Amino acid sequence: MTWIKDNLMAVHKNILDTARSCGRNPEDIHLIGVSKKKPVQMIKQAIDAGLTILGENYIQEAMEKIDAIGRDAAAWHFIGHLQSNKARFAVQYFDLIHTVDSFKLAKEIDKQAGKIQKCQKILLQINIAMEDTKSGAQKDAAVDLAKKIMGFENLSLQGLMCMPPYFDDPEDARSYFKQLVQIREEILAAGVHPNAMAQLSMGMSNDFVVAIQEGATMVRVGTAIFGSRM
Amino acid sequence: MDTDKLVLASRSPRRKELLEQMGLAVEIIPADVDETEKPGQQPLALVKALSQKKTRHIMQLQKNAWVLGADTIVVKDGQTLGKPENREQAIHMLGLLSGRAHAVYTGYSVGHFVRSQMKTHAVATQVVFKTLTRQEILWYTGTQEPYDKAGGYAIQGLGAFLVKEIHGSYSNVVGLPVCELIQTLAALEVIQFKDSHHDMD
Repeated sequence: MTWIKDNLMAVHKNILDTARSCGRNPEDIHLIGVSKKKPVQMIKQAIDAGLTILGENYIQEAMEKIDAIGRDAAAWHFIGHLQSNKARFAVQYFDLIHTVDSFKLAKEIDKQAGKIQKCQKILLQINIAMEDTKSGAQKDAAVDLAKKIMGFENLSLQGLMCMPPYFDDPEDARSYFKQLVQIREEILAAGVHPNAMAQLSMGMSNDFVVAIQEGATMVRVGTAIFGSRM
Repeated sequence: MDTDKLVLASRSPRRKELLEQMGLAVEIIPADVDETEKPGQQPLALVKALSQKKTRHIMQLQKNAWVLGADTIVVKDGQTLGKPENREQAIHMLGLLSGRAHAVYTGYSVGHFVRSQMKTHAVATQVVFKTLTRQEILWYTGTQEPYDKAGGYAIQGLGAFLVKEIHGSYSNVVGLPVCELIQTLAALEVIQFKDSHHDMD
């Protein structure tokens, strides 16, 4: 399966070229390999080929895979919808949780992190296109929620995450990425420390180039690395 | 004791002995973690962070066990003294410590993965060495003792003759502050105190 290595190199090159063409430092952009529903063997190959961050969407599936591959083999990010009753496992298994979207969930993660004396890094997920089918905090609640999250002792807010609707033409996603940058500006203007807004997790296989142009620091790429089928 | 087993995430036979002395049976699974930490950290914060790192690492592998991880460092005038690798280093270290006070810091963490619990604590002890003669240093560094110990001495061994005064926990210098640790283990209900009095009939 050398194609995983080839795919990974192609994605890295694409990130590098995009960053350079818009005057950004490529080191500021982190590639997250979305490995949901991908088997352990494939993930191991990607790690061997140099992938350092894996993104998983389902707690149960992720726990089994992380136990098999090793907690320290890579950085693990949780990028799926998180229910409060699974917060404990998310805290135990993940270095960064991208999908915090309510005060209730933040509070539960804080509580679980406190129990094991962890400072849990999180991102605030925004429902950028106001879709009923997607999770994420409402745009007009973002500033308030970010300020409240700053008050939790065991949470370390790192930035924002969004997931725009899928478009065949990635250009159509650009306005949503711009909106996320705008929300970050509003949160900063409300006095939240810049360190808590350093990361923007946006852009996937089909639109990460546009996302990087708009300021993404984390891109979540699955298909372009692992292919669309198993 | 009717509870999950206790795993010691450390190779140190001294720590194992301290625990066994308290009637605690332990299984040893050393945690091989990267011990380089952010420079400029205060000693107490440093040993806490390292003990947490070791404990977390083993917790992930032994999910149904209580895991105890610890880290001890010796600090003299703001400088951390590691384990001497050869006789020259051991002689140098003892020279630094001779006739002066230094500090020994031990951090420990106790955690349980499935129970989702963890507690961390660190203890500092001040140790004052007698003024050592060259003969004393040469004799001690001619023994095996200094070479696998932070600071180059063992208070519980031949090195006892080096120590003129100690302020604070003795077992902390050996490798685990037993008084504080037992309190932590009791708070987490890893251990319970039962009446051990036997009728004299």
